[in-house]
Amino acid sequence: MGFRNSFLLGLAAVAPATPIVWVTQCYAQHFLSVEQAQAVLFPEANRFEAADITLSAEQRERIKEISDVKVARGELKVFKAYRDAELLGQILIDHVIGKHLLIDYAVALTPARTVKQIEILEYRENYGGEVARQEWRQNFVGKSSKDALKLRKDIPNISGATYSTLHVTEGVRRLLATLDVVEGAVSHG
Amino acid sequence: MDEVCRRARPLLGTVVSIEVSGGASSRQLTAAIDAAFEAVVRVQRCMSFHDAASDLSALNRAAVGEVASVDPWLAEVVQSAKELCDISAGRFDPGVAPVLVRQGALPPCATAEEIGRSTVQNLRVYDSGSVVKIGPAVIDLGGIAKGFAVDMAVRALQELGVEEGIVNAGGDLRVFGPTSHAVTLRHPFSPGVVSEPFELRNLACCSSVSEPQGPTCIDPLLQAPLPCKAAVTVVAAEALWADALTKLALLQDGYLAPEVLERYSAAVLWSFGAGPEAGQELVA
Repeated sequence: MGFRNSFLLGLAAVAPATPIVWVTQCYAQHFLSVEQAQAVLFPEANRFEAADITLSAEQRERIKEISDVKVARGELKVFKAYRDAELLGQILIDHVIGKHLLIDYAVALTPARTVKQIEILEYRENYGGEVARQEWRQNFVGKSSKDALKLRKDIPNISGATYSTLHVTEGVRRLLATLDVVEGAVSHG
Repeated sequence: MDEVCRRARPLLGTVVSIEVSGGASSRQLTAAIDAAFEAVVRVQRCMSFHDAASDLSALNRAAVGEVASVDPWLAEVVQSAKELCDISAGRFDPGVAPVLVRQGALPPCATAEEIGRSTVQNLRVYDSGSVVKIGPAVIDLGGIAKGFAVDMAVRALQELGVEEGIVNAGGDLRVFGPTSHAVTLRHPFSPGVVSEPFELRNLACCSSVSEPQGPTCIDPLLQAPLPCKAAVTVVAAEALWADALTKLALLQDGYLAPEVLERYSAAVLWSFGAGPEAGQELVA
């Protein structure tokens, strides 16, 4: 099957003369640091206060009952966002593990604890197996330090990857239940 | 060196990532990305089959003869779907939703069991905000709305002065701007395996998979799922067309007619099917 449309010049480099070569690779994609996420989620805030949560075994059990999601960790990173004395909301930093995907994400909640916005901080693919990881590293072998500066640019986008974010949805449900348990339920009206 | 801004949000049931650079300040790029995500949220809100409150669900529930008021973007996508349905002699038709409902791939819909064959051609776009149903029509835009969302995100970025970037909605992506960007294909049946990178410039690239036991592509002519494993990747000027054409190509063993390719500045980049050349990879 050849390209019938020679006018597709933007595509010139797409058409390999030889069949597509498949290689085993894994990708990590970094989007935002926690500080950058704070600025994106609450741009009007001028102060963030750490308010980390430590959960007891009973609380974890209760959260699982409410959310129907297993609570893997007892520590939760939380920031309250303020503009001067006014509480604008809070940010919860969490991660979820899917079948092949580990996602670090930040959820911004309003003071009434409704979801304002979710930003993905980073995701990593994991198809298990050191072989894949080693071959991925080989991707960078031979690149000079000058190339290393462009490293992020060099990791290409992927077409055909359908990542399910079901686990993020579950994670958010678990986080909302966590706050209900720790801070007491609020009316979500 | 221009500033590069990258963000990602869980939308459309997948990870939607946006990478932009060029011209603007970091603050402007952030504002442009926010606007682009808002465009994706708007598509998600008005075109979701799963959300009973969406304009699409209201349209699906509408009785024959009823005029439904819809988001102009939904009317635009319906018009595009009708166009491709027409050009493909009915081989592309989002009106297969009742088959997906019967399979359990889509949630129940009150009108999905009505008598008569559902087709998008039974919808008429009156004006930009209203669609009239002239016969049975229950549609699922799963095969086209994601591409449209990518296009609307790109438009939002460009309107706010962003010169180049990539919008990637779970593997359906579009690259815009003066420089080319490296993209790789994920092997549809070995997710840990990707292709060597290739370069895209001002093009969209979308992939679709059909598996008897997984997400299936429904053949509107047979009103039945594709019986075999198949996968295809299509490039086109716009993501809506790249996305929609993957569905058509899946049903045609990776083949798209020359006039279709020309009309949408498209090409089949890669396909895998069980047609006459069963198990063969077809490489453009």
